[in-house]
Amino acid sequence: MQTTLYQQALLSHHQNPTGFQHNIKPSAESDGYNPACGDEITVKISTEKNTITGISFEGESCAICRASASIMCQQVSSLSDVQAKESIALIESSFAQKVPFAEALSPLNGVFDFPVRQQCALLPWQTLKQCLSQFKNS
Amino acid sequence: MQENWLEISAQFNTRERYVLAVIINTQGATYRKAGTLMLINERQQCTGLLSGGCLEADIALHAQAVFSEQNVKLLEYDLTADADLLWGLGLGCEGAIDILLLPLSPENNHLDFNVLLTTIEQRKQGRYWISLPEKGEELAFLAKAIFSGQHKVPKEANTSSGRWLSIPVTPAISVAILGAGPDAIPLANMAIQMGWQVTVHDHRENALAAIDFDLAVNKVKLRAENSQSGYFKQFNAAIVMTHNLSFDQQYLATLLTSEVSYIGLLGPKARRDKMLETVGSNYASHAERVFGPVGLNIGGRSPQAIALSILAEVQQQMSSLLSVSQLDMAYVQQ
Repeated sequence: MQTTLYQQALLSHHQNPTGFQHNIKPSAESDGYNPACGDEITVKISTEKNTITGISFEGESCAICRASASIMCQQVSSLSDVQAKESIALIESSFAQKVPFAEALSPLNGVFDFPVRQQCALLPWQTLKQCLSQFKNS
Repeated sequence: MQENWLEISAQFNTRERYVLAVIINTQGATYRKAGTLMLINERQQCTGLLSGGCLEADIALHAQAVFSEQNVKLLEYDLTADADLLWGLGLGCEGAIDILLLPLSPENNHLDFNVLLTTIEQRKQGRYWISLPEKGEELAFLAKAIFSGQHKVPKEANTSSGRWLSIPVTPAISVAILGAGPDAIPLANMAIQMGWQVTVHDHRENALAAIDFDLAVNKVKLRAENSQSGYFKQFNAAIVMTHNLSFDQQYLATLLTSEVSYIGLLGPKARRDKMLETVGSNYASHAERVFGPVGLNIGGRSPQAIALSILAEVQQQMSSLLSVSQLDMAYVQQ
């Protein structure tokens, strides 16, 4: 039953993704690519005083990548760069150690049943990580 | 029916551990059906295919848990149209497939899998019986499988409670190519791609040596006039293509007294009828297993297209013979 709910939530994110091709004035952007699945994604962030004021993504990617990017855009908007990095670290460690996600991230629990899609789900977050490192450097 | 036994056998090593992935149930239009097997080694390399999409990569990742815990694992991919859109595993619209992952190790005698492969190499048949766990019982379930050289239910499967999946085990199709001319190359190589056992024959050593066949092709120096029906017992099909009328006739005479299920004759109908007449027979008497002009009529003229048409016809003949005998059916024994 829960699996179906996660699936429905992911599908909803895929079909109406938050942040997809959202028009922002980016302070930093980065490209991500998953050669196994062919996902191509570009993540852009706008920032003010170390806070993410806007985030968007675009590119050709599978449904899981897109849904995960949508969840990411909902989660990290208005976070500081430190908080955003903590969110990314949580995502990465949860997938690595198979620790269930809670609350707004819970649709990602559906990915545990399909480990081949784990990298698809991680890609937007890893691309955001690259963005944040640029932002810090600039 | 499992077609890639030779490929699996070539990969299998009794000193190593594997995970055997078995389709135990399907619904809808899935690529493969219940009884199909795939072997996964500890390097996540898969031998065989269970689906046409990304399922293999996902299964290989699930197999890691089986390698580490040595428990069976039951995977249920129930993909409605929406779910397939989301996960993109290529099962097809409204497809559902249940896969059982079994640990094969030296400690559990690879669950008789080595016995199965040895039997295949000896070109014998049998059935592989796999005990099926109920959903939710996988962790406490002891993996069990039995290979039986007979088609009746083995004692353990008959006396124990629970369900058993019975999978037919039939050796790879074995083809004798009679004549090592250049047109034998695409035929032999394509037959190898099919997972078949291929032996090319010619009386000319130079002809056999000159042609660069795939290493998996056997080569035998044989004169048509010395061929004997007992020799052909190991073959399901023979393709007569020496391009020499006398040699072809001699091979045909031998093959007609053999148990070969498919005798393909290169050349037009008139040549076929002439050869049969010369050996004192006629086409009507052997129509169920003599095929000439050889190959399905698919309209190609190149050696590759002809090879394709011949192998398609062999496949068709072998499948129809197996279907009649019902030996190709996997089923669940309660």
